Amino acid sequence: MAAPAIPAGRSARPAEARASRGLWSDAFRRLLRNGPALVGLFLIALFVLTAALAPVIAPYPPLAGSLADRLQPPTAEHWMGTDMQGRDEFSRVIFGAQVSLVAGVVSVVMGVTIGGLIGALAGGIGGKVDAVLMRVVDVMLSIPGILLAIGIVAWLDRGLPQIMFAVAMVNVPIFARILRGSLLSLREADYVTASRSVGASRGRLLARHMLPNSLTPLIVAATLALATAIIDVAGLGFLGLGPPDPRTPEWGTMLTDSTKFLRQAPWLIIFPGVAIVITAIGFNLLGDGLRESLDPRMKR
Amino acid sequence: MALLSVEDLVVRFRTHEGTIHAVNGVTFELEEGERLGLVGESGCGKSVTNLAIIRLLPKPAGRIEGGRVLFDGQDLTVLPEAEVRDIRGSDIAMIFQDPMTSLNPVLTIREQMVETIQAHRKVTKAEAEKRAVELLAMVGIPKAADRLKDYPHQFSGGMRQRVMIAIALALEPKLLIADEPTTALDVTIQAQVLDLLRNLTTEQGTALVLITHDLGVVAGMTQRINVMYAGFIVETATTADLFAHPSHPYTIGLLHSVPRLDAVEGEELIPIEGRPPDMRRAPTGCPFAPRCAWRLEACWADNPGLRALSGEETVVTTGERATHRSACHNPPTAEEAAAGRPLRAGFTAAPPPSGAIDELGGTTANIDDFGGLVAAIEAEESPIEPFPSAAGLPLPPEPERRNDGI
Amino acid sequence: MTASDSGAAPVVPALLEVRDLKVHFPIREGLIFERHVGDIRAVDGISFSMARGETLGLVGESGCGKSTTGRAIIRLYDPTAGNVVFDGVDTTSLDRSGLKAMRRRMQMIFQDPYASLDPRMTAGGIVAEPLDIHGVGAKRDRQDRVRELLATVGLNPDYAERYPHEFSGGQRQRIGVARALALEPDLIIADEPISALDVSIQAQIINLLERLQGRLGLAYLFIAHDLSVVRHISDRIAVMYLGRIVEVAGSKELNTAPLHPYTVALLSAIPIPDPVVESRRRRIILKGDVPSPANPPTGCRFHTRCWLRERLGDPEVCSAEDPGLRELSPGHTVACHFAEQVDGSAEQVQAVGARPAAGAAPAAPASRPEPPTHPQVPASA
Repeated sequence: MAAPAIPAGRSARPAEARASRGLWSDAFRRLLRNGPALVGLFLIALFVLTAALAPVIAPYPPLAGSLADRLQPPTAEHWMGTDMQGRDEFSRVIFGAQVSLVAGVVSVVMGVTIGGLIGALAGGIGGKVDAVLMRVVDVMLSIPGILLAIGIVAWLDRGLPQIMFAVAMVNVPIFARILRGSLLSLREADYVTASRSVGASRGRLLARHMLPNSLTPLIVAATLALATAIIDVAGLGFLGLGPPDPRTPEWGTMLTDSTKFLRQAPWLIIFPGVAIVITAIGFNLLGDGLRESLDPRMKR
Repeated sequence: MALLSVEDLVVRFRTHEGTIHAVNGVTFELEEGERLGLVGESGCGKSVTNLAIIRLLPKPAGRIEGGRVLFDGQDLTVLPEAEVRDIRGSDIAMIFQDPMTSLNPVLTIREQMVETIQAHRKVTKAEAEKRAVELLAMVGIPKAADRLKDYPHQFSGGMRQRVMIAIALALEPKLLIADEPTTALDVTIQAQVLDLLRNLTTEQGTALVLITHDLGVVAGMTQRINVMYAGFIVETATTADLFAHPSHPYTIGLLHSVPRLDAVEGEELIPIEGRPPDMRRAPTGCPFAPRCAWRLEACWADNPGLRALSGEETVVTTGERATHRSACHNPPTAEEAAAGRPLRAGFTAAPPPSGAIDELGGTTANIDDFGGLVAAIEAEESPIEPFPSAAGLPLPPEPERRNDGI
Repeated sequence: MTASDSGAAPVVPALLEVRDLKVHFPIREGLIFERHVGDIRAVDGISFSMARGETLGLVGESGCGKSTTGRAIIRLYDPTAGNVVFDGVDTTSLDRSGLKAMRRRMQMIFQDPYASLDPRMTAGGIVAEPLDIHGVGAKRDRQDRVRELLATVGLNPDYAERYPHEFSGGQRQRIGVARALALEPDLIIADEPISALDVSIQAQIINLLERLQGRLGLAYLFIAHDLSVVRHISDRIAVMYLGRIVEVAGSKELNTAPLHPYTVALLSAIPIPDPVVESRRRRIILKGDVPSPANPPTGCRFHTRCWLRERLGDPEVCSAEDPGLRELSPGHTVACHFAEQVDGSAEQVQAVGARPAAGAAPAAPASRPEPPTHPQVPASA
């Protein structure tokens, strides 16, 4: 920010007790008043805490089990029962959160970075650069997301990094379009024109005015994308393209492995499934809440 | 009995940011065929009053929280929705500022007009269409029959507003409410539309409520005016009375803060200091007190109701003999009204009661903001010097901008 | 000081001289191969000049090209043809650094105080931006300068850290004014600076602009659609119609003796807040709408809607010949073949409403009497 605090000025006036409210703190306040968003925030906190504290919470190691205990229904000892190898399902779901969190966050961050870069170049420079980049993005968008991800994993071989990259690539065109769109609409904004009329360079316009003001839709989209990313990762796992080590407690892979025992042990489907749904709902609720609280139309 | 009678109307909006006190007890009446102006700035409650009358407040935030709206003897605030819908469009018609949002962009003008007519009158499609052509011709649309098949976007702004007027008058309503009908239009087009509106309502005997921020527009269009501020009517009078003897400090301020085309050379503008009221605060005291140059101590605490200027008991609320009423504890004199500022020796506006200091959003910040600082700047300032005119460019010889008569 | 020979030959160059300026926007068609099918002739050959410290009002209705003119002068648009000479330098031939230097001396105030301030910057940051861009002063000094600027426009300097959404419309416009003042420009292009503000706030901004001009010797190009406002603030007024200037005159003269039929119609269309005056006036109702600037009428651009042409029995010359600006009296130029016929016509007299001269008429005693009887009128409130 251009005005780095004038502390002297502030203390000069006792009447000025209330500090200035920034846009972000305003938005945060609105977010805290948004019921569904709070529920989302709670679910996400639950998810993140579970992932972070997995070794502490989980009653059993996720990889070890005894075949003697296989396919037990939920009991006081095994809250979610055990799987076909006798491993504690509850512990595996908990450790699965780690995989999902890392895969989701890394892939979305990767997607936002690459997509944002493409969008910024296209929207910031325009002209031929824009035309070429956007055609590439169009091509990427024309391939169904999961198909694109399968293709990439098939091409790069299985592995968690590959999965994350694949899911990132699914989101790249979406982020690129969002950022480019808001940059283009901001190009004609009065305050950008005002800065241009003063003699600001193109780089300054982009860095100072256009990018900061186009971040909100990107943030909202990224939050919502976390939900789909987690589902996509699970989906790849379900299709047998999960992590190469078949023992890894990944929610999608756990679902696939359990299908054979659907009749005998339905809980093996239910619990990982519920975990995926709850996490996705959490991010969706938060994303919608963010959209509402950041939307400039809500304020004058 | 009056055609429209609004009694102590209270409208509030419940929002995330708090309660908006949009209309705070508005009472007025309208006779058949009468033309009334509702004048005020954005946020003064004039449009909300209109929306409340026709029961089109945005839901669920906006609610009528008190009062009645009697139209032809029926209380519109308690009528079932279906009956209100029946009255809207046939007995009460509306025109809004932006005709583009009130016309459906995917339907032709023919479809929209025929639909409106057939919704309220039992006529055949052919009859309705014939009427539509008549109406378009009446509002001055050339080649009306051909243009029926056009879509709204094929008309210019002024023409669209004409179409809106045609639709509004299609069912010969008793009351037409026009909310800033010409604000989006250019001034020459505004002249066309106002001309049309005046002629048609006079011919058909339609009562008109004209909502606008522009005192010039109401001066030539209406017979009576309500001036609104912060959800209150602060002054009401016949148009002639109001302009001849403006009495409320806000009305006087408005008159002095717009330059007049026929102003005497160098006539200075006297702005209303401060900023528009924060409608999130429940009103206490006179709503205009924070910006008023005439305020007394009582103004901070007590909201004066509308009172007859002459002090008489019986009040005429409508027509040419309507009583001139104003809501002010300290009405300016005629000389002060003309000058635009208090002239009494030694008079200063009463300071706010202690402890009421707050910053930006508040009432008293205004004084701090503008009164204090601007006064300080003005004091330090030297008188305006003549412009250093570059030679060869004709500059009017105007050494000082002062008020020296003509 | 200035040379006093106010004749035809300028000794000191004008602050701004616009010569035959044209700004055309191409209309393109076609999906893949774009074809150039025509031009929106937003500004189509206008010339005028401005002196230092002068206020020139540029009026016209939407689409007449007045805003485009302002933006072309400050080079937000590149002119299609013509020259903009600022203080003796032709800006159309400047390179990037020359342009940047020139922009220090020319600033702009925008119409919409909500859209023209970056919502993510503080008031102080917004006002400081021109200083940052041009590297004026040390960082520390800039803060002081910002506070000074905010005080100059009547804002509490302690509000420098607040964000635009915390201010009202009028206060935001003051921030915009402070930003325009930051580099101490010679010329400010004010593009409808008050039309988005509440009526009661408009006068605050007008008075502020006037005060600043008196103090800082600024020249204003005041662009607006409202002739009564323009008349109030301007020394001279140029009236635009469909990309052309149709009349230029001193502010007073334009309002009392307009010579172009369009100016007369424009004046007559403006409502005056006085029912007595209104009842006496007769409006000239122009027929139809403004033609498209992509395909302007031949000859005089106003001839399709002109009341005078109709009166004169549709003379051929109006649609055949483009009337240039003629100087009918010193400093009063008009682009009309029959401007002489306007002078003294009933329309011209009616247009301004003619408030009765010094108590001549009986009707309006209290309408808005001037307060010359009270000597205490001047500026100390």
